[in-house]
Amino acid sequence: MLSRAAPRRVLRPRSVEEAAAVLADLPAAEVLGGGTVALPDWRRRGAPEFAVHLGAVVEPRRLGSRECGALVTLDELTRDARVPTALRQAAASVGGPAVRAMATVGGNVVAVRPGCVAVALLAVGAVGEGRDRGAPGESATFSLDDLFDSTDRLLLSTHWQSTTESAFAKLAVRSAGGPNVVSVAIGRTADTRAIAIGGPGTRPHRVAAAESDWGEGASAADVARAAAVGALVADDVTATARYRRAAVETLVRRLITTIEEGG
Amino acid sequence: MTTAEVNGRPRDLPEDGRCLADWIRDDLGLTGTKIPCGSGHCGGCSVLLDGRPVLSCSTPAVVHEDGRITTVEGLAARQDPLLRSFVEHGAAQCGYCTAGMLVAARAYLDECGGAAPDEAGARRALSGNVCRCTGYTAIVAAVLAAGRECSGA
Repeated sequence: MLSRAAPRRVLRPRSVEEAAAVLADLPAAEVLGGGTVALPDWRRRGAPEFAVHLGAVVEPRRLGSRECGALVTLDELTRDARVPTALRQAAASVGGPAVRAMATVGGNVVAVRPGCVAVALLAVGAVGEGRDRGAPGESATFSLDDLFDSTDRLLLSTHWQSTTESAFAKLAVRSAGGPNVVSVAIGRTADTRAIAIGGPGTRPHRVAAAESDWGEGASAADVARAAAVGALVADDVTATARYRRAAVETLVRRLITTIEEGG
Repeated sequence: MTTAEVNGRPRDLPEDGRCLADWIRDDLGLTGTKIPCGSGHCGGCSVLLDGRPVLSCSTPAVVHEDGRITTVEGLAARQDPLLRSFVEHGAAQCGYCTAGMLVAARAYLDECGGAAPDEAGARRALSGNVCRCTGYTAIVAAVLAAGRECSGA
């Protein structure tokens, strides 16, 4: 029943175990991190009776060279030189300072429309760790794709390989908070190549054929063309799919050139 | 009952999940904070929370136990030079965005820590605040002038 303007009660667990137990007991309760996705969404469609705010739980706040807690804010992510470049660039591209001060990495990933940080996490090969609402006592590892638009999992942290070189770029109508045209992130380790695409009307996804071309030594221009062909992009009021493909090609070419030139 | 400090006064937080903006306006009567878009896109509802700008339309009040919240009324009460500078530079047209602009600008000047602000920094700091009258040039000029006054430059 989603007719109220605000939750009747906001529960504030103090530990992961308590949060997982509350979410198992209240299947319709919604998880609240920074609130920048949830509250505007509630205003549109109505709020749940209960919300579970994770702000008092300590574990999801860890941030390091291979780990980012779900409650780390995008502002914290932009300021930490230990995390891969693509993550910092993606976080810095979201909204203005007031949004980044509250918005969390977890919210960016599990949102109905996963955001730019989710695209960057895909490019660095990240996985999520947390709890399944059906088995609240057991830790579980999830692929990012399992977490996108997910209400039955409690994301606590994301992890990635430490040696990833990466970069992120976005084309948007305005620099802060405007409609996004397309987001692109790439990552490279000694053995792997990743190219991830995001934007309105599509879940963040990787383009396998372009990644394969990149791994086999194809030129940046050829890889970019393959990425544009493989990208799942949509037509909407902001941009046509054709325009988005052109943007993907340009951004992928620039990012690969940047990484390969050591920038 | 949990409390937060609003403009230097302790206030009882609500028990339900209303957003900070609704609580500030409806319960505390501090209507200087506006809710122009209600979707987190315009920055017009910005308030300072522990010195950082946040969107009061996008966070529940109840989770800010012991938080220090400053609204535009708080800036006015301490005669913040930004307010006079906005007037002197004609930086408010319809005024709907002004409270959010002032709060974001105050956070930026505090971050400058007494150093003179620069235009690029001011524009970055205000990048999440939309002025529907497009009066950005005067707004940035007002912020820079107030910053120079505060820094003594």
